[in-house]
Amino acid sequence: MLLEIKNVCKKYGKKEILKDINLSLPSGKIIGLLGKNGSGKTTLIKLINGLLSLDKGEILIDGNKVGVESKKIISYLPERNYLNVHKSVKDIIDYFGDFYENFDKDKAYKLLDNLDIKVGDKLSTMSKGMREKVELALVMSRKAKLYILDEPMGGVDPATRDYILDTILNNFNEGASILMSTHMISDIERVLDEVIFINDGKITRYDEADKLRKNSGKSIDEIFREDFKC
Amino acid sequence: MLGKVLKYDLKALCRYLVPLYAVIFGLGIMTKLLSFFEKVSIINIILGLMIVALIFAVTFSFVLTGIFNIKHYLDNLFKDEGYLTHTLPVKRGTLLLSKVLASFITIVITFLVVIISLLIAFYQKGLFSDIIDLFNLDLGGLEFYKFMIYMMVYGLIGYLTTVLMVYASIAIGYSKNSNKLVSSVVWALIFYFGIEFLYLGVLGIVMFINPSFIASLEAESFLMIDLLNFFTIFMIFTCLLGLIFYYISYRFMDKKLNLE
Amino acid sequence: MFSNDSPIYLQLFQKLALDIVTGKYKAGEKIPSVRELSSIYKVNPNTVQKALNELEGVDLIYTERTNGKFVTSNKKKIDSYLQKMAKDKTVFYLNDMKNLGYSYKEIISIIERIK
Repeated sequence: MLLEIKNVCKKYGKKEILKDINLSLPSGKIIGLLGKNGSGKTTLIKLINGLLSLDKGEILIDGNKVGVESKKIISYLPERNYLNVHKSVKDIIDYFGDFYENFDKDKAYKLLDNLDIKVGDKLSTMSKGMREKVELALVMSRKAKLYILDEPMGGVDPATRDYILDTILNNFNEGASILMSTHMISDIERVLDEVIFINDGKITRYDEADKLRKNSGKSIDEIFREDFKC
Repeated sequence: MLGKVLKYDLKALCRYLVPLYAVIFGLGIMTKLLSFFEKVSIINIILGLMIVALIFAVTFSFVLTGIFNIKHYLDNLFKDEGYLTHTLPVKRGTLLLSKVLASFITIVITFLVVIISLLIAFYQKGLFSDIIDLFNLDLGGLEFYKFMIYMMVYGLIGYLTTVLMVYASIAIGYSKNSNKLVSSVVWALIFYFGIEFLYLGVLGIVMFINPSFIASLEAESFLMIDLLNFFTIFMIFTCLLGLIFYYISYRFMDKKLNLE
Repeated sequence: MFSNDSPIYLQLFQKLALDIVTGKYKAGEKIPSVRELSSIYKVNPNTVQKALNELEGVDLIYTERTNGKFVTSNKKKIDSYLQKMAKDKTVFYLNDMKNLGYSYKEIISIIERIK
């Protein structure tokens, strides 16, 4: 298994955000982590990336605990603009190239060229949506084993959504898995192999998307709405 | 990896330090240029202001260097940028060590910039031979330059420990779920007063072990070397505190990281 | 292009089967790679793979070990699949009409009139 999550719990103060999460995710799949805002999606993702400390349980990525080895093979897109805006695109590409052995600079330049972004442009001169695209292009330019994309479609217009979905589909490393969180299910459900439903810190479903559709005759979006009555 | 991390830490610090150094050099050069026309009364007044500004800039440059390093530490490791920094395939210890080395390197550069700027501003014929004479001056049985070197090392250790104290306060404060900045400040105050208290304790212990010490400082036979020995106790103690703060920063960053 | 309430791979399978029987992909012709199809239809490569497996299951395509996937050169197979599709659609239509209460005779007269 590529990603194993065993009995993971996380509290903020007294508030339990994650309650005994167990998951085993395979390689080579696009997996949707679906939940409403505040369901624990981002917390789980941050734990996998080592941005939060674990209260209880264990997380293994390709057999390794969260650390240098796991960070080498995970390419992570946070839910916020996180790059230093004072840097130019070239600076950031050099930065990625210096630290990630699996970063493909040529690919990054090509993807950014398609966006009509010049390498000298500073991030501070770009709109929020454009920054999101740059960040996605960088993340997808790594030959990773696991891509973790937190709300990649958050707050962008429909045309941008198409661009983002295309970029993800066309660029992820063969044999790798993608774990993608979202609360906008109808936009991405057709690309998902498997779906995880998370609600109130618990996993309520983990199944193949087409199997759920076949058994119910409904879309994942409908099933989700029925499960959680939103 | 340390080299790469350090390279980018220094690059980021350049953004703040280059303007500071430009101001210090600028003031130094202006002072020198204006001093050629000091007979003109109006220029003499400007020269006076320029010198005041230069002294002001020089004095604050060390504090500013510290503040820039702390700001970079906070932004790079505990704010949004931390999402990138902490997902690099680099050990947490390396990230922290790089920040400490960057503080060390930048304060040394600031020191050199200040010296060079002052030399530019106030250079006169014979200055260097005067300085050499001063350095060789006997100071209670110790050459002045040895004393200077000693004080510089002590100053550097004190500076680094202070920076590490703030690093540790931030590491603790930002592991909390709310009021991160406030708890960082509170922890910095706790550490600060704790240290003052400990210094008093160390002083007490020294007095207890060697009650005649203070008296000997006032005696006719006062030797500088005795005073330095006295300082050395504090220097070692400060070093130890620095190491403790380093460890605290590391532990909290490694085990209690809480980015949100 | 696809509806979200039935398995995507089946919808893609039907779409590709239609493309083959209607001659968009001709007998013996190479079909686009998994990556290309995934990009064209904006679906997951695994879904494409599944759809292709289904196509292979009904002998509409075959795999050449290193060269990729090809439409079968056996035109009879394509024809018979076309007939199967036509039959399926007709049966489906007839069932619907029967549910509406029409007899075969009435159905045929409706078809005659529309034509």
